[in-house]
Amino acid sequence: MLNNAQKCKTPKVVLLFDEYDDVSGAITIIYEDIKSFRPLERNYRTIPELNKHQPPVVIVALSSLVDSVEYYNDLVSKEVLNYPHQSILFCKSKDADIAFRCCLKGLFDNYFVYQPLYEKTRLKMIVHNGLQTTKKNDEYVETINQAYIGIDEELDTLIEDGSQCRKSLLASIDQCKSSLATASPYNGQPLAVDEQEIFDNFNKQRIEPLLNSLEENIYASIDGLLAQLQSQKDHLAASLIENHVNSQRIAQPKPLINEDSIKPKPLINAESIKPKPLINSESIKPNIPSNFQAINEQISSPERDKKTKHILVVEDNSIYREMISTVLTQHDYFVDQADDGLKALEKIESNVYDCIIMDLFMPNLDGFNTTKQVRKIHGKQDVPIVALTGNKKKVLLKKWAEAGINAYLVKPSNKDEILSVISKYTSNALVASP
Amino acid sequence: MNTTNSQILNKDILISLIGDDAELAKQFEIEFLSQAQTSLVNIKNLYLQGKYIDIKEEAHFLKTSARAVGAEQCAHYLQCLEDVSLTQKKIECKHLIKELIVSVKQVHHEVVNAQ
Repeated sequence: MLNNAQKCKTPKVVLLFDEYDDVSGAITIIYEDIKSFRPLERNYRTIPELNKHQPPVVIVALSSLVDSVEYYNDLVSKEVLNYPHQSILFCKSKDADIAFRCCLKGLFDNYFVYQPLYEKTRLKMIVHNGLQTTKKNDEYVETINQAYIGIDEELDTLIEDGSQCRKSLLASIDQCKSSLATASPYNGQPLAVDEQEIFDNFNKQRIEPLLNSLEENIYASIDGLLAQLQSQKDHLAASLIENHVNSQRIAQPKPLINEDSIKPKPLINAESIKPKPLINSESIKPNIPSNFQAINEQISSPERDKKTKHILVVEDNSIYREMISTVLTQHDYFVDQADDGLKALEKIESNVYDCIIMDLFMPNLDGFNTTKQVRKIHGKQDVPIVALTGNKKKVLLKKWAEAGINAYLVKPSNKDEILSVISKYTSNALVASP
Repeated sequence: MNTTNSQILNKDILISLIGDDAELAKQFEIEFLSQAQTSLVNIKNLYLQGKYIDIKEEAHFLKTSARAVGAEQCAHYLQCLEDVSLTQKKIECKHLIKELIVSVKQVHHEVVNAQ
């Protein structure tokens, strides 16, 4: 039986022993059901074998409980078992209580009384459960990682394609502009002076503006798209790191133990493997002086009455967001704030606002897409949305209007402009429409 | 706008936005300097990592508050940095980042001297 089991080349279950006679019965029972099983005698080859195969289930069945605990301790400290695995401690009947406490402290995942060996079926169940547990963890982590990797690769491709498209389009426009400079409607033949003048004027007044407009449109739309894709990629990377941390927690090596007190000494703290935080507006948010809050509290009314209009200011830049809020609260508006589109959507779903002022370029979810989502929320289709933007291009303004934005304010705007627009869209007599 | 007709710190802009509360204006200016310091560190690190799209986003972010407090030269350099970062022209980016740092220091000088 020992020879057969030792022939297993890719063991999933390993039993560490000193005396074969002590564990022969257990070996037979385990081998009946599990062929990917190998008993390993403790000697100079044990550690290389463990390093080579990294079996998901490790049974420690040395001559005494103390030996088993110390040897397992040693393997952990040498990082031989620094991978996801289930550990099972074999003990004699008289040591069952200690083994039980070892498991309670998380030093081992399970224990089994192998001398005398009464519960054969239970032994099989313990080993089988150990295999199932490690298999599920591996499958879960692998599935999630594969999904993330797949999405990450797709995003990479999209970003690359987007950049290539952008370069290609801009190059085409440059080529058109160069061609215009040397073009002649009569296949290179010189024009009369007045004809040349008409041709040049036509180029300057019609063609060049169109090309410039197209170029700006490309900058605005493709650059925005690339920025969004990159943002998604960064978030995906953070999720992948978090997933990796969680998988490490599942496979956290067992803590070292003192044979006298059985006090654990953790080797690796999963908290130390924290994901690198993304740079976002929250992480670089400056400390707003306390009197900003005081000013708002002094001026604004804590309770909303029927006459007070409720405004949501959505802007990732905290300084500008605070400035607008200050202006509005000074004029008896009740102001709520959000620093990105996602948080804005949460607030919009659970609150009633008379008007929303929203920046268009924000992390996580930009104003344009937030507006589209707001218009899908039941009961929020008519809430006025005023865009905050530094971009006055007509093509973009038209696109935003089609998404549901009612008006826009050019940053930074002055107080009168802000109040005028807000007053117009919070007037009870006005029904907002895109 | 170019740097010849843009001011280091145009106080009229902030007054037109929040009124003539000098104390409040000062606080926003100080907050802008704190935000600019953090953003500049981020921009520098992003430049070293070659992450030009992120540089564009960071510049766009800081430009909002730069315009709002009246740091017109800063806003100008930030706009230029936004445009240049997409072309991934390293030398030009570096030059603009240096100009931006000088500009923020000038804003700091103005804010401190006005106290």
